[in-house]
Amino acid sequence: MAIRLVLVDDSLETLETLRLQYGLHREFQVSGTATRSEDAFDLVEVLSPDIVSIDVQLGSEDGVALCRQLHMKFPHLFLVMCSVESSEDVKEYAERSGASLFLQKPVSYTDIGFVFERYRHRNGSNH
Amino acid sequence: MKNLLRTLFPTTRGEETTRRESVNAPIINDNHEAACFTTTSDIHDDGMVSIQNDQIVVTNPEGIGSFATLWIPDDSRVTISINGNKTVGETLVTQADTIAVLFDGRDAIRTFTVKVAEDKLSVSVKANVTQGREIHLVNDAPSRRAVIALEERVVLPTASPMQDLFDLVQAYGFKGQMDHQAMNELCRSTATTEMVVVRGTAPKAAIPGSYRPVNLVDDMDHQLRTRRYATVSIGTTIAIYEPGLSGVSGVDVYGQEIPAPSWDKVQVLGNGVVQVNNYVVATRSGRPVFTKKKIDVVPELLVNHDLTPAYGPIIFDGCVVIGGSVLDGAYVKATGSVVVYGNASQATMLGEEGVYITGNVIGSKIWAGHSQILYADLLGFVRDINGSLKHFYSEYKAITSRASKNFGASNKIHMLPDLLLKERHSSLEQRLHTLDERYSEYLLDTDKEYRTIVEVLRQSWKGIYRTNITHEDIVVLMNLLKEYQQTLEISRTGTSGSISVSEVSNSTLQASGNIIVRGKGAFSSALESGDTVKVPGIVRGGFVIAAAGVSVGELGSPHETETVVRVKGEQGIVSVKVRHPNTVIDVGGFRHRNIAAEKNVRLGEKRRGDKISARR
Repeated sequence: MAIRLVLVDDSLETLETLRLQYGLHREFQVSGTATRSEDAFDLVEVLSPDIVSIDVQLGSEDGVALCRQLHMKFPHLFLVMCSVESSEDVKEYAERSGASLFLQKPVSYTDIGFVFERYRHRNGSNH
Repeated sequence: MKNLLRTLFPTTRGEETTRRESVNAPIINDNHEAACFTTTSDIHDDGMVSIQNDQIVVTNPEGIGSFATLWIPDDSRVTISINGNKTVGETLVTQADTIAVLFDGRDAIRTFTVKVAEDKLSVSVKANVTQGREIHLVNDAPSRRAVIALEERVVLPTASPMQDLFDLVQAYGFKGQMDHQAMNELCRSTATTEMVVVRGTAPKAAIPGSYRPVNLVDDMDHQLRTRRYATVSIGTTIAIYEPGLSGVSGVDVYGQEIPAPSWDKVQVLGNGVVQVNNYVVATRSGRPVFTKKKIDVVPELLVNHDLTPAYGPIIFDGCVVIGGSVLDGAYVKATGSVVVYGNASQATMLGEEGVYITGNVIGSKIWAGHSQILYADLLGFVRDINGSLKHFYSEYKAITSRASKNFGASNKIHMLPDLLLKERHSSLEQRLHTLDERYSEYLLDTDKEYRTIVEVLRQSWKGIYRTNITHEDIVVLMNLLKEYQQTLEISRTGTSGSISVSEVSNSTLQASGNIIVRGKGAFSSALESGDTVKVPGIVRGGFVIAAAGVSVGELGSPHETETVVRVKGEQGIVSVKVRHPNTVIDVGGFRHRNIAAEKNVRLGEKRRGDKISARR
């Protein structure tokens, strides 16, 4: 059974590219995409994905805040923070807010494989 | 008899130089010529001094004639002592004076130094020659006043005995051919000279055999503008092997053997040819490949129309040529190259040796050199599995060793591996599962070793078989994975495949070689290259990742579309002609994000401190 994903990013082009990158791996299935926090929250409630990938800088919104909210409400979710910035402060902030993994853009084929590894490591071999 | 004229100036203590002046002496002008003078005395013969053969001869005057004088220069090359006192300048001399002349000459010297060449094939000797000098007094006829003038003559060394040089060379223990003529010349050299005196024997390199193509007819691909060979049928002789020459080992100047350098076989014969005696024959019909590295005949599948899923997936051991577009979910996988004379839409294409699409790519997945890409990923994964499996096996052995002594427990040993995997080695369990799941699609039908491992996993390590894993099963899997890791480590450097397309949008392009987007550009796509990405047009949205370098005409958009470029290598370069705001460029870990538009950007060439400089 494929691991279901929701992608959240304010850039449509980046959303599309991430969708393509995850699509290269058979283990993943992109269930939905969102460009705003509110839409992302709704999607997660409806679709119950296994993984949510969130852009740190969600336009005028704070992606890390969304991460915190999702983590509080859905603690089982595997949350991946994506960003063009990769400072240690941002990483720590994301981790404290419940992120399971931090990926720096651009996200490569190997990076997606790493997401899978970390997800499996955390969640066991149900998939 | 001592001179009656005494010095008017006392001698300085410690100096033996005595300066004398004559009274009633003629006035001496600057040229040391005596001015005319008269004497009221009777005319008598004056004293004389002459210089001949480095000797100063003095005669006294007769009667009341004038005594001779001598002018001695202050020159370090000669020391003239009169009666034991070093004398300089104008001085009176008499017949009774003891005049000693001491010259500061120098002997000519020749020394030898020995030098062995770096390759130890020759020994040279340098004759270091220092010329000597002889000082002489210039002869002067008898006169009342003589001026000491010096002449210097170069002295060359005499010939050194050849035996000395020979003994010197022998003392080092050199072996080889002695050059006696060179030694003779060195012994007689009059200037510093270096010559080879002992020679070893240089090895002769082997001349490798080579293949000469025959029966190959040129065929031009006008669309791709490339030259290739026309297809041949099975049994055609396509090359002749011309044997080379074996090398001859040499001997250095110490008598040690120098093996002849050998050459690796340059051209490898592929699966589509076989060598029969000295002839290379096609074992299948297809297109000949004759490069510096490889000779092969690659089958070619030609589909002379658009390809749709209705045609079925194409998985071909050779090259695939589509004389149309690849559409709507069609799947093509080739061990050779894939050439499409059209567009690709919602398609998946894998060409191990490259993918060339004359048209545009939309919503598609394109892979070139996919094995290399996968193997790079797989190698790390297999290493991890091997490490985990080793721990698993250690624990298994420890527990089974204890259990075998317990009658009740020994009946359940077959369940132990399953329990261990579930309870204590779940990460190993996940990895074994992933090894099958993730790579099967790409490797199962092309990689024999991988296929064997997956078959073992499916037969013994999955589902109900898990409860009956034996010791032998574990050992078999460990050995297979260990060998596979070695294979992966060796095969990492394979042929790289490149991708060339016109325009790409909403697609992923993955290549172990270069990626070239010739036309308008790349939009909302992921381009990942093991070498260089070149897009003379636009890259707007999406990611570009390359190992070596990226060259883009226009990056991003005036509307600040997020576009990220990364070059992994620290020596990599990113060049962009027009860079719009909100684009990120990362070269070897150094990131640069711009908020204003820039032109003619070149990042990665120079680094100042921790920042990458950009020329505008």
